[in-house]
Amino acid sequence: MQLVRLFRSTQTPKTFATISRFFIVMALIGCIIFYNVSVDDDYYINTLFTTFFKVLMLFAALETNILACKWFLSQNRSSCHYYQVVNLLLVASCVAISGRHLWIIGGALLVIMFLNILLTMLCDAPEERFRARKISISYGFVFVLLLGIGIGLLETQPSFYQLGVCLLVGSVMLILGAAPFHWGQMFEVRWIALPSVAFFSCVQPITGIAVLLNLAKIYGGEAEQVLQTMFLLFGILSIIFGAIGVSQRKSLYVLFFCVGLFNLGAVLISFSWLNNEGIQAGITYFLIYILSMFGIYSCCYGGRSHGEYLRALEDIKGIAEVKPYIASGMLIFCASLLGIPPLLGVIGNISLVDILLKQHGFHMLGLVFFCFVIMAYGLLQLIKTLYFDKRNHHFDRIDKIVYIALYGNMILLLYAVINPNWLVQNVKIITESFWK
Amino acid sequence: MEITPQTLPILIAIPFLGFLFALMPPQNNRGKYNALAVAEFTVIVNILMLAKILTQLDIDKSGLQLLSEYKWMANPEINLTFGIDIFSLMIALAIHLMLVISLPFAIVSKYPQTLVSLSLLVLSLLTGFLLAADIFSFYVFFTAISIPMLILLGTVGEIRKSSWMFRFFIYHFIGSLILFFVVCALYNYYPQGQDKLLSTVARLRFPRIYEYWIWGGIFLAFLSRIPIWPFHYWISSITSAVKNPLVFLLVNLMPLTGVYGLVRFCPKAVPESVSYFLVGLDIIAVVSMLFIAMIGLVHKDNRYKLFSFITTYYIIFLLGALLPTGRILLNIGYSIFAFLIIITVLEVLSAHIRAEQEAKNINFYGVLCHSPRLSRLYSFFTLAAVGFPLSALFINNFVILSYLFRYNFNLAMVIMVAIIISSASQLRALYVLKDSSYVVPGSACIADISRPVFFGLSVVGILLLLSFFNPLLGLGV
Repeated sequence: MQLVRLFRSTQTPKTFATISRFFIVMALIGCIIFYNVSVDDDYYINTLFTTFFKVLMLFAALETNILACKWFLSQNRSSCHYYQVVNLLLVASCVAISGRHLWIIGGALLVIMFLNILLTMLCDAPEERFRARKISISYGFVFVLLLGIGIGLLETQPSFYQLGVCLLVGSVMLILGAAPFHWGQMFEVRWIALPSVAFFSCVQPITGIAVLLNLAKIYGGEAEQVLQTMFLLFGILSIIFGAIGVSQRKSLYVLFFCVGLFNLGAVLISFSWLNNEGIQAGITYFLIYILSMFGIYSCCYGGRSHGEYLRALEDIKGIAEVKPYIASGMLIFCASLLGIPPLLGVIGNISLVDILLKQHGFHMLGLVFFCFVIMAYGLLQLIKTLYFDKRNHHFDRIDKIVYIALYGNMILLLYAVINPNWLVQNVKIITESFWK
Repeated sequence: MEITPQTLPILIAIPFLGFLFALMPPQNNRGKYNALAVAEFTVIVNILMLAKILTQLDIDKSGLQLLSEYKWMANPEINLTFGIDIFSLMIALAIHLMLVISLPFAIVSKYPQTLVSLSLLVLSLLTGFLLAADIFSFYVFFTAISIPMLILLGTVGEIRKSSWMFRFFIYHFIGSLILFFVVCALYNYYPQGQDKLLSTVARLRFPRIYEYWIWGGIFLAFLSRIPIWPFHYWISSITSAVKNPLVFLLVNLMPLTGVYGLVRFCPKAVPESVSYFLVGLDIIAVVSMLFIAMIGLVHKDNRYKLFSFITTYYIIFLLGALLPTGRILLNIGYSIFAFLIIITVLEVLSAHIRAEQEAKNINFYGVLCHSPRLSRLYSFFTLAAVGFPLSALFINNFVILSYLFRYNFNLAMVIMVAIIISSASQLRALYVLKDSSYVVPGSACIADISRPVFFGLSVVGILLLLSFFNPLLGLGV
């Protein structure tokens, strides 16, 4: 991409998007062809499990890539920096997912954090870039601290093994944005541009979850209890803060970030039992939530007025009047996130509640119930804004690609609702391969 | 056409397809009538299919018939089962007739196509709810109604106070979430490989403490839809604020989902472990009924009077359903059939009167004096509502009340008082509308209903009259 930037005379955002897309597709093909080819089982391993997450991540990146291009075109900005960073992030993520050695995983995570900081510099306005950079660098320091001390303890102090695992997992939670480390990302999404927000919300969690499970498999034997406690703690905090955040937010991106936080918490709670059923339930829930988030961010790309992408909840008042498909899309995906049948979210909820009942997590059930109601109240504000409030903006014409992305997500959702076995059976196979 | 078990999902699919078709016409006058035509056609097709199913059902056989099962998920194993009996068929038929009668009157709203399409979606979901035979499909349709109802209330219903709409949705959501957790819990108690049918829920055995939670959850989930304390406030606020007659009727179908749910989960008797708490529930229900009936009597708004009448009867049906017998289930079904048709006609006629009053800025005293067709219909349906022997409501309510008297005499006496107050409220409303002492000669009058409308509603009246002799006779069986 740098070569193109330096030597090609005509460059548009589409140029770099196309290059990025080409490499992502090549990586996708490579992942599928070499799905079980490992370099060395102690350093870098490819299994069905890692391939699944890498393929999912690359598909997700492809979709965000296509939509991001539209943003750059409409804003008339160069997309070189963004696509360079995204591609490098994908490489680092692939390494982190498949890595088995501590230094490989640690190195990949460090690169991911650094590239995240670069990605947060894509903002709508220069003063916002300064604020976002400040927060991301501070969190970067915390991350380096956690990762560094964690690796140090694991390598040099066997007596502090469990603490080391704790810190290592904590560093991954920081990248994921799980509570209580969510504040940084929550503030950042207020300022950073939509392509970066969409990447952090839809692609980054895939990496984070895969790496977490990778670590759980490597360290699960000796530090099982520590891992279970950490997953549970972060999960509970995430659903509480996520639910409260959804009901309080005036910014659209922050609202969706909090929705993502809530769902991440639910996934972590499912994983906390570290058994086949828990991981299967967690992955099922996770896939459904990622699909819904994709749908929501596709709709966000449709909310534009006078060339500016709308960020505040107030800005999208009454959008249903003039953009009924965008509003319906957002309604459907929000309802799916709430688990309202017959949408896909109900399958995720069945998985979650089923595992909680089987593991006798009744207090957790009560907490999930309570947090769901709070989240419903927050999403209700959004639905009210979309459908019932008086419109105060003119909305720009929406690009065809946005509709294609939206309909594509809806078709996928519909198919999964009619034939959920396709989803559930595949998750079962992947979970079984996780333990091998 | 041969009726097979696969016909039942078609009954759900037809209104859904109608919903999709109704979205297609352009947003203009012609589009409005196209959408209406699609809706009426869809509903009439479903009515004909329901009538055909009725001829093939074995009326004397208890339990659901025409069972059809669809494998949905393998792990966990969830099969969606649909079935029908006379009880659910009567209610489904009544709801379809409600739509046929009220759609043409409601089309004058601000968003006619939204109203038509969402009404069809709600009809599809309600039909699915009534045909659901297993716990999961029951839960799916029970919950799915919330979102289209919310959109209907906010757009067509023109509810301005967002706090009411929030309460509507949140109460529905909480009830649905509770039911979801209960259904997931019930799933684990079914023997391996057995179908998770609604009819077998009452026979499942749980540890004592779980029984309280599970049955408590079931009752809470359904009671949250019925306007008894402490859930009475939201529905009365919403109902009194809704302008559109069809939306009013659809909102007032929500308590029916609660009553129906309780009937399906405990068709014969409430489990012994929770029957102890029934006394408290009965008292709360009856006190709520009494208060709402009294408020209806003093309230000047005819719409609130109708709402109080509807609530009173829903609570009677609820109390009848909770009796330790399954013998009056059909009586409740026939009663609900007549009741829904009566309130539909009363509401559309009231909406016509209100629209005329607002347009011509006239008082409601004596407005029926110069509208003979309207007056005759309004009087007939009001008398049918208050319990005159003009419909299936009369004899079947008589049976339900007699069983209530047998079960608890004191409670039934209070119920009788509430019925009398509610009936008095309706009769007073009729009297005010027909009181010619306030009519000033030469002053503006409301327009009478047209002859075709009068003829159509008269046919409905005849249907009701026939149902007095035999509820199924009214349907041509």
